[in-house]
Amino acid sequence: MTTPGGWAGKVLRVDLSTGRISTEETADKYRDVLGGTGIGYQVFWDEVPVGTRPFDSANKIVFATGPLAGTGAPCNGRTAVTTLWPTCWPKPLVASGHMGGHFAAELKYAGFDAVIVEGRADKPVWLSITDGQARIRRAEHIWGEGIRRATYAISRDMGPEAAVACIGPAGENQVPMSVIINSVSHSAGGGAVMGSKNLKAIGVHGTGSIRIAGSPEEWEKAIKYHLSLIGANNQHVVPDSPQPWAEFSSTGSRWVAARGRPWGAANPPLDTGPCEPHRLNRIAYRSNSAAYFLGPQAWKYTVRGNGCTGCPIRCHTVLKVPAVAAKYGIPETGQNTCGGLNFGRQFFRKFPDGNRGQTAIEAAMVGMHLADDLGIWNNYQLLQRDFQKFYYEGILKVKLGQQEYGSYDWERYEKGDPSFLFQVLPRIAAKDGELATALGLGTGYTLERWGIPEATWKKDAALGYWKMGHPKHHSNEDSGQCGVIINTQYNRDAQCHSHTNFTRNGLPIEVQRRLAVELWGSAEAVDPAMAYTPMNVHKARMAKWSLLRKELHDSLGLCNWMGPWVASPLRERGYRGDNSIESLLYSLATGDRKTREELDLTAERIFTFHRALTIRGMGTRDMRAQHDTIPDWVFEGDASKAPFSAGTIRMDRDDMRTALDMFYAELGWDRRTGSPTVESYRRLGLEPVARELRRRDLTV
Amino acid sequence: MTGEVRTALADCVRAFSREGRLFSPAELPATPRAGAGEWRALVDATQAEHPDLREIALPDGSGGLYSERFMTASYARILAGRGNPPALVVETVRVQSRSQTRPVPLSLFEGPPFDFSPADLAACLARIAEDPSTTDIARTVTSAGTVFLYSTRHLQSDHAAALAEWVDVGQAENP
Repeated sequence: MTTPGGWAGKVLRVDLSTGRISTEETADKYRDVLGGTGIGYQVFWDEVPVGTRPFDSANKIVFATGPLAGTGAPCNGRTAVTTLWPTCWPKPLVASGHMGGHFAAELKYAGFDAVIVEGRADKPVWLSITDGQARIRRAEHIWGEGIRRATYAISRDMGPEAAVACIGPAGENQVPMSVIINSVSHSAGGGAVMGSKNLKAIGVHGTGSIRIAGSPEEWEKAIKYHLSLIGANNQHVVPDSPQPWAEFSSTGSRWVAARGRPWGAANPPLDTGPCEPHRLNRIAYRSNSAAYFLGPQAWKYTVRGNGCTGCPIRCHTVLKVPAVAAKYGIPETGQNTCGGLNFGRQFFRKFPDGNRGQTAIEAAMVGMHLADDLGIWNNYQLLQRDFQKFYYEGILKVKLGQQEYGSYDWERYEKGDPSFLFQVLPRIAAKDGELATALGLGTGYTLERWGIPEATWKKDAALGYWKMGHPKHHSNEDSGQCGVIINTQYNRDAQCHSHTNFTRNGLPIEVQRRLAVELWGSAEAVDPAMAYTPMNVHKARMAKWSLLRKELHDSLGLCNWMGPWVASPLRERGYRGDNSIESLLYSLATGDRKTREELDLTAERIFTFHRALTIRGMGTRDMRAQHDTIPDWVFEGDASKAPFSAGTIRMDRDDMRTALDMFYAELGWDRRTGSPTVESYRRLGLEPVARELRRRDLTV
Repeated sequence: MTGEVRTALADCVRAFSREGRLFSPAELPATPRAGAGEWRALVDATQAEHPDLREIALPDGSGGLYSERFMTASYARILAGRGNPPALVVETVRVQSRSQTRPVPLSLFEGPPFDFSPADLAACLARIAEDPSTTDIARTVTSAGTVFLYSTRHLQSDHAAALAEWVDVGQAENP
């Protein structure tokens, strides 16, 4: 059979217990779930027994790309890492992390769409994958090393073009708050699961290519079209300051390029300039994550933007800060974006020269250096917020013995001295002491260990804690009820950007509302920020669309941090993007012609698969009461203002009940329990899933 | 005027627009014969042949030219308004408050294309504060100490304060 375009064609399976390596045809088993999280969910449904714990050898870890990974499609560098999530509290359930970098493309070029790792090796090993061949290799020589050194060692073995997904000491020591990192700075959670399997790293290198089913002309035209719709980081489509070409500007946009804002550490310095949107070869200049997060003085330290395969955005900003080499003994260059960039900075409440001063930048450099080498996860910054609360509310004094408490230099911490990070982060990775061990568990288990009721965390709006050990991730602060709904659905932080990339795109509300009519049936789907109106069915449609696009991107290998692309910077298009760009690219790449609606149905199947796994894992059909919960701070925070008054993100309990009713109805789920109905499983081709759930008395 | 002159003028205006500048009669070398009437005729004829050219009134009563192919009307309005900082600040704040539903950080006016010096900006704000026709221009300060301006005609004070905090602090804390 001819391999369809897009897919590499095979899934690699590696049993570390037996050393058995096998392959299966992607199309035979996984075609209906595309790739990425779709493959991950299918593997967990079919193969991992209920009740398995994250560090059991029966747990698996699935690295899966999708049919658009490794193609020329923009933003195609994503790999989904699906496993039983060790920080999911009180009971680990299936979840996924998502890493960019070059791992996805190299895996595809090596001939594989996914790697399923199962069992546990007797001794430390790493997995080498090259052009259709996989080998389990001994890793004693790199066990205990940081991610950078281990990556270099493997790259020396495989060649400089290899992409190495590696864990650090945190993962080796089975610290639940640990990550896997590839391509220097691209991380996904699940490090401890790799560690539990004695798997230090997976190195991949391929010299193959991905067949595109459509004609080269059609494909190139589609790529250029997609590029024309792309904005800046997170698909912000207007610049943050007035530009000659721009009708609008918006403070807060991540489109920060402008004349007079140079990459100051480039040699020679390079002015980012006005970046007129039709100049596609300047897309990479539009964004500078460091300047956005760390303030204007980061421009002088900026070398360039770095990023993933096929992505023009380059959101991982490379910084060169010479002062840190002598001051902290770390390399003067570092790179990351968002949470990784801010990792060190956010441990501190204040710095001597302000939160956007030189010391904050140095804290960012120290944090990147340590966290990305030790392989520590920050749980979307909840780690740092927890740390601050534990310290400033005196909880640490109570929970740590006097000797351990005194082993930390708290004066240095309060002063905002970045060198304090050397006291904390290595100890987390080594489980050294009570504080480090507790923090490394993840919030839910930390609270349980210290006898702190979860309810107290759910009341604190500043913490942004949501449920199950994880924080909010673009909730009511971004999109009112839509954001809240999205945050109820997963077993970790939601990681969905479909909604926030629309509401934060910088376009005036009138333009957003005009687009909303086309996308979700009414202008009432979106409200101005922090001036929310009561729930309506169009907001429910937006929530459903957002979640399905997330799963679609996660399964195609596209980046949901950058997409969807339903708004654009193009005035001549009325700032429309294209709601069908994914189906256009998918159809051309694979030859499997699918309309937007058909592909969305596939995304719904994948999303519902996750729901079924959660129902089976929790052993209850009552998702509404047991899973889709909303923390108290959403309703009780900002008590001086009434819900729906201007200037608050406070929501109304009755209104959110209505919101969930409407959302469940949009998906054809049972309103009382929030469970998919048998009919909805049938509609999505998931009859076998429904049968098993019925056998377990878990259907409605 | 010949077609060549009109084309040259159009090209010149476009080049200025690409550079983010308005083209005005002041850019031309002074010639004894170039009167206001001749300039007007040249502009009218050039616009007729080159419809991307637009004219915007400048505070001194003259007109500035720009090409809408390379410059938007909103940007041209900022350039044209720089001669009257208080009016420009007030208009910018009102427009942003109304159509963008957001307050404006004071720092916006210190960067391009406004380029007001801190002293000029302080003087400008003082004049706005004294002008009875601009009492709708209010300020809010975020927890990071950043000053934002907004118009009370279009934004309630609570809303403006929350939005300023969100833009200045909240968005970066929620990446």
